[in-house]
Amino acid sequence: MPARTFLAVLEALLKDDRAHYVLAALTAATVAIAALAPPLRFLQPSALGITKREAEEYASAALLAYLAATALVGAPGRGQLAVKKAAERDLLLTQPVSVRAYLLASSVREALEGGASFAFSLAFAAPFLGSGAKAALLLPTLTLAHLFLETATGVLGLAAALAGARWVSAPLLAYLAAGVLHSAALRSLSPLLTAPLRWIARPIVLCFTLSEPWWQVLAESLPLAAACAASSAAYALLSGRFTHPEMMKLLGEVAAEEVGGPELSLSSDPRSAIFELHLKRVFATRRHAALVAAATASLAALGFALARFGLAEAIKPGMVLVWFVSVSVGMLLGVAAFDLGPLWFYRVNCADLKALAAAVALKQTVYLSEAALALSAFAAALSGRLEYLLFPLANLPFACASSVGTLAAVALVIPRKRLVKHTQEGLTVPEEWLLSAALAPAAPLLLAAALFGSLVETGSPWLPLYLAASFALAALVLFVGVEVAAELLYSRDVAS
Amino acid sequence: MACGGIELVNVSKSYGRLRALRGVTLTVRPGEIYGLLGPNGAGKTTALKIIVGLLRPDGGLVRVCGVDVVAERERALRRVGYVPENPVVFENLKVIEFFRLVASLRGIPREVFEERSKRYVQLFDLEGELGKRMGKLSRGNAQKVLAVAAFLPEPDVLVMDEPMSGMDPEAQRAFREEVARFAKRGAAVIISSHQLPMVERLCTRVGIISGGRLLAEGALDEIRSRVGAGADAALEEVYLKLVGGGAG
Repeated sequence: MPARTFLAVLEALLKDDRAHYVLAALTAATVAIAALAPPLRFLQPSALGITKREAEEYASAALLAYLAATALVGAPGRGQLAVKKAAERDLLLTQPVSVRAYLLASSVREALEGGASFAFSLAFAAPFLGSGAKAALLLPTLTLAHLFLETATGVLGLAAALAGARWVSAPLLAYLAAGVLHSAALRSLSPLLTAPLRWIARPIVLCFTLSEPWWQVLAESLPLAAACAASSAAYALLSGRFTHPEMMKLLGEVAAEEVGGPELSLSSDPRSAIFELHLKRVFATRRHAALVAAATASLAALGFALARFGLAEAIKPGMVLVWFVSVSVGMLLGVAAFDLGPLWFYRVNCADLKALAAAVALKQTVYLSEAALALSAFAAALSGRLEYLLFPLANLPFACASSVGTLAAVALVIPRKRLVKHTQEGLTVPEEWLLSAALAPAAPLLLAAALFGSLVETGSPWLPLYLAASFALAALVLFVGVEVAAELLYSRDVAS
Repeated sequence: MACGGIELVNVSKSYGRLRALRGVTLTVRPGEIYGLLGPNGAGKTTALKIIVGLLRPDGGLVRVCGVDVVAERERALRRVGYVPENPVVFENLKVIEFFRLVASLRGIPREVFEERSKRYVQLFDLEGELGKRMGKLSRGNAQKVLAVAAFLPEPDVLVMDEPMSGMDPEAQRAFREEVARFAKRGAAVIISSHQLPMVERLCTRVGIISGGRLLAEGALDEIRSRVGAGADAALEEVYLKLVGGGAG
């Protein structure tokens, strides 16, 4: 593969408006601030109540889970590769660019963007983290970690494409199951889960500690750099087996093939048609009900198993719920972008945009509530407190606020961007930050999850009143939010 | 069927510092098929999107069927069919579901929908595509589906942006005949296209736009005489003279 082609593809992939310049400037500025900041003992691993070793273990297990999940989800099957972006597949189909050059350039791009994005957000906190001069090492370390994860998941994806998905997924799932069972037996995280990627987590954790000098972080990063080189080489080698861009399948197409559901009917009421499209067609299917039931049952079973092995004390159910609500919002943007991509159609065909906003907001609220239900089953099984099953109700204000906030955020970028199913399609990193900022008004409602956990744990008699207030607040948020989002969808220019 | 057609009066639109339209004035009367021509980036798509209310003009007046599109968008668009260029579509919807969605939103009664959809599916040879998801269609078939979606409500105004790109010759002929049928029944039709021979054959009037300005407008004979081209000069020759591309 000529290096010039690789660099040309990488440059093309990185070029989105002037975003990368803004990104680079912001990152450089914040890393410089972080590097010059005096060390403060706040939010370091020890201040969080965990040791350095525990931080490494949690981080390495989380990285392994991410690697496995990405490999399991992203493999469309034998002889096919999943790509995220239609425009990039079109590039492959129309230009003399090899699959290998594209895949490698795409991985490097993801690593640079991902590393910079993480470093940017962490660098804001760095003055409080007390990282001192080591913060300057954060960006390269995170970028290397991203590159390793990108290429390693790529290698697993290619292996699945060459040998068949089950030859990769079955051993992976078996390994993870063994790790979980071993952890349950040990009543702590098994080395099966922590050892494989500890050397990735370690240099990142050390960036936030006080006692290790900067050169130790640098030295600890060397195995990571070596692993990056090895996984990139393996990726390049394996990707050479794929020469036809037609093998590249969009992730959305893979997902779409799995979507069943009843056919959309002809309705005499335009608003009913919108609700049928976005709600009934999505949720009123046996497959969807089975998935929700299976996820809820599995998490409940996991909760029972962990409680039986005596881990109930080690895991705080309330914290699990807080973690869930904070990470779930990120998924909403893709759903909203997918649903509002054809906004031109609704506008030109005089659809009731309030009905559209309500349907999409309700869809997102239902998604969040279903996930909350599954996690509440886990929390209830783990703690033996059935009140946790009421968490979806307590979470409703946050779910509704996040849903309408996402709609409003998407409406803000519609004049400039064609929206498609994946938000990363065409959105620059600063735009994604802008969208996240638009969700900020929902952030205080995160406290609701924490408050709910404490009410349950203390057996407070105020719980029924709290739930009633949550429901009323959610209804109000939804009502007002839908009005605002519908007005934005009506009045903004539409690029697509 | 006839309504007041399409009117753009001194319409302007900018994207940041880029002035996409600079005081464009044009009229498409009922029964007319108006060809909007111009180089890439001339402002054609912007003009069409303003007509269907997807973009708000910075200045000027836009009327469809005599109704101000900016002030009363829904009332204005009730009688408009639109074919966009390379749009984002409902990728997970089957073609037949998409047609049903159009009919539902437009309030087309079931029996009328059954009759019209059957006719258009036959006309555009879409029988084999009805069960396919929109995201799986070829470019040409996707254009046929979008054209059918625009025709289904039998609108009084048709706004079409590169509607035939990717269509096979049979579908192009069916499309031209259908557009001509609409015009004959009194519909006002505006089509943006780079297919000059098609425009020459189909359109009753032509507007040539470049750099956001309407350079010339009128029947082909009028434009020929304005640029000093011979009576038998092809539209391509006239077009190139106007937009500065040489005599071709």
